[in-house]
Amino acid sequence: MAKLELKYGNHACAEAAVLAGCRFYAGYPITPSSEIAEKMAELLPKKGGVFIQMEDEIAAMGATVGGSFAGLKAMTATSGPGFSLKQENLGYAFMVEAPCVVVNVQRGGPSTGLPTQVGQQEIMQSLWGTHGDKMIPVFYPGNVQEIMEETIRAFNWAERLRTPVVLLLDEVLGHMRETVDMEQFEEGKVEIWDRKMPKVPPEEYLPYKPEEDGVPAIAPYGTPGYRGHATGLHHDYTGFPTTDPEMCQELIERLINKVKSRQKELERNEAYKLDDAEVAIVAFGTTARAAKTAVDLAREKGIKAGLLRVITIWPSPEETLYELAKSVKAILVPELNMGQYVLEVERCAKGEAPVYRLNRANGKIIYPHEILAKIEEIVKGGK
Amino acid sequence: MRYEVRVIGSAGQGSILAAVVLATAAAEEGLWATQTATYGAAMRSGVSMGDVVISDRQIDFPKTTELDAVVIQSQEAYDDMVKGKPVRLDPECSEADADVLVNVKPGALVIVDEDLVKCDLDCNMYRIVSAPIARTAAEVLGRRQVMNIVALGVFQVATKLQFDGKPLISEDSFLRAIEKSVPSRFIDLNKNAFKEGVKIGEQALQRVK
Amino acid sequence: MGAPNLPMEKIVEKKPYFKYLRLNKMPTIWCPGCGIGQAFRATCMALDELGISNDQVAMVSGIGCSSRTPGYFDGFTLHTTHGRAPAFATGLKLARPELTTILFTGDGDALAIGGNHFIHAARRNIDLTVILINNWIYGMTGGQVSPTTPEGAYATTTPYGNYEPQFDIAKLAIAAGATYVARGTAYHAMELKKLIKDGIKHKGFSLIEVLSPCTIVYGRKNRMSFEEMYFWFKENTLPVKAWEKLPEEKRAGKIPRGLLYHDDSRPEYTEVYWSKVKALSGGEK
Repeated sequence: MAKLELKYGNHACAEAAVLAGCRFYAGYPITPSSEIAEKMAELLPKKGGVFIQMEDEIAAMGATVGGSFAGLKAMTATSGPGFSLKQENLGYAFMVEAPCVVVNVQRGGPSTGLPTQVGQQEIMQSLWGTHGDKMIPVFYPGNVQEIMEETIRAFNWAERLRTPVVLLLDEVLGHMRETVDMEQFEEGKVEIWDRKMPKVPPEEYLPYKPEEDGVPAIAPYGTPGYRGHATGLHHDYTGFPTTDPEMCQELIERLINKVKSRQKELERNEAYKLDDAEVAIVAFGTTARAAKTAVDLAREKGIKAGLLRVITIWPSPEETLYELAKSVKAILVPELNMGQYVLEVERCAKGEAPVYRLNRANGKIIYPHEILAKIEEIVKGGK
Repeated sequence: MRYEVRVIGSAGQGSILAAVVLATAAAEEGLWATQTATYGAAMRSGVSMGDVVISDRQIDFPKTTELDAVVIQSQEAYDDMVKGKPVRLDPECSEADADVLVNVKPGALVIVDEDLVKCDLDCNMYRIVSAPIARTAAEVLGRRQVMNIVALGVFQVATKLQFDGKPLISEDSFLRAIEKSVPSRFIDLNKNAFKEGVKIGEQALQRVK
Repeated sequence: MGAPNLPMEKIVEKKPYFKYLRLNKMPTIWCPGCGIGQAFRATCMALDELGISNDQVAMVSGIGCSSRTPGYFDGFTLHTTHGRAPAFATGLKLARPELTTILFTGDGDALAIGGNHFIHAARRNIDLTVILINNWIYGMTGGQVSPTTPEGAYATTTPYGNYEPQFDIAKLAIAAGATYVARGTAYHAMELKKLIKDGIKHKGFSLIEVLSPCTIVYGRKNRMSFEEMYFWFKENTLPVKAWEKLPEEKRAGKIPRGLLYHDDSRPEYTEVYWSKVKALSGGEK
């Protein structure tokens, strides 16, 4: 039995975080993500958790890692300019393997850009924003129901892999109210994963020695006997700095592979009318919703269109995109930026199908009839 | 089924709250809904709007494109957003207007305040329901601020014109939605406002028929 | 070099503060004559005297010479990003208020890139003990000018002498809201231990500024040997009580040492937060 409730996108994110076990939130006000912080400020103290508004975005990310090291499930949320500021400590979180969730409610950029309007311009930054190499899971839900699902999934993977996970939303999703079927979020129905604890006695404890799954079992700070060191420098199994080239290479490969090797498990997409599709749209977030309607409009006109809505943006669904390219005559990637994910789609398509773009970065969403017009143009072009 | 509603008015008339209550009522009714608005600098000065899309299944495109109903609370909102404007699907429509201007479908419900809004839409093309919304709020309820909820009452009744004599959403669902959406000390006032809206809606419907 | 040959129990018997050291991570990266080691030793001795065990201490730092200290401390240690230690430490301390949380930082780390985090941690009066090694220069990056480099002094980025004014660290901390502010030097080792000990004991934000010689980088640039630098601290600093008695005109160039400010009346941040939580959640954690 469906239990429908109207929820505000940003609030749904906060509520789902608490459901997932989040007990630490450090934030800084920024449009259009502030409502996440406001909701957390209301919810967490009642749950015995920590909420703190920090002095800036950098500090908010730093405190989040501090909370995570104390053993709490930790989150921060921001938007474009704040996401840029967070990159330094997001890279640190990746290096020291601090589980945390970083939400970016995307607005129009670059710089201060369009604070109250929508954008999808951090598709690349979410993975490549910090200096050095990195691979982290990046999820991008498409509706408010999914904001809740993906927030919980983000926490679960963050804890399992001891990694930061970025949750991308956009202004439309964050500022929208939408019906959510709360049945799946009832007590006891939500699957929660917790980080693992060391199984060895304190004298054998090496905080950064990976276990078979490539993930080390680092004890929360304050756990008697299990003292340890964490540093953003390249480090050995003890966590202490090293410049040993073999150790450094092993570390960076492990950090990347612990996420990349699980690409299939992390992958989540929605395939819509793709079985017989000749033109496939690859889209995410708010744009994917317009694309879905555009698929129906195209079908009404006799054009066999379909949609692959990507939810796990990174690591990208390479094989799925390649198979898709082989099965269709053309791919269209509409996105609210000047052409970001289209590069990844092109890479994965390996020339099996031409990849077209529909780009906009002026704060306005793409409407279904605009995508339809583009599809018609592609079809008329002889494809 | 996809049903799109827009509530427009001058700033302070509670258009967004009305949209929130309407979307909440839809959820109470067991329907799916999205509610969107334009924020901050993107908002037009002086006028505001709240959009709701209602469906019997999960909604794909969350914004409005073709309105099945529009609730008009002030003349300036009507002049700015409805009267003689190009619509989004029209090539004349600029991107800046795209969020604000939409098609009003032929046969759509147009709810207007009979004292405040002079509406020159073609009554053969639209189902125009005119009622003393603000006056009822001021004189019967003593609070002009609740005219948005009175308007929702009128809307609730008027949907009977589109759904074979049955309203889209029941009165009960609206009353529960009000309980969930307004501060507790204003619940009774708003519930009464809704009920008064239903009353004047019924009377207005007699005139339309 | 390396750990002494005595068995650990014997060392700890003689020097109980050795239990806080990660001897297998030594030698340290610090240059000969550097004062950070003095501050570190004073901290370990203070902890020992206070009876705080290794498992009760978190040590957090940013980037720089002084920020390498946590690596040698056998506790819960976090070597974070440049200037950000107060932010990480605020998160950790809020989540684990039972941990004695000590920060090691420097003049560049705390006052330049991390100035904002430093003053806000002080403003909150969160129970952190900040040991700020003030050596007047960026040592690790090779000797660039810092917010405390004296006027006229040479650094790699002030080849014609420094012409920028300096931060008065103690005044800054007091103005920002710190409730325990002290100044010691690497020369006055036992006094420093006492100041750090009282800082750790203090419930609230404590700042201990440690004047410390950067013998290799600052010393070489400004033609001072390490003996001269230690001697300079001896000659140019004096206990705050003595300093207060000096007539105004004789104070110029003299730096007061000791406890400069102490206020026990202001509530501590984590206590305020958790008492609020207790009231709201009925004690659930």
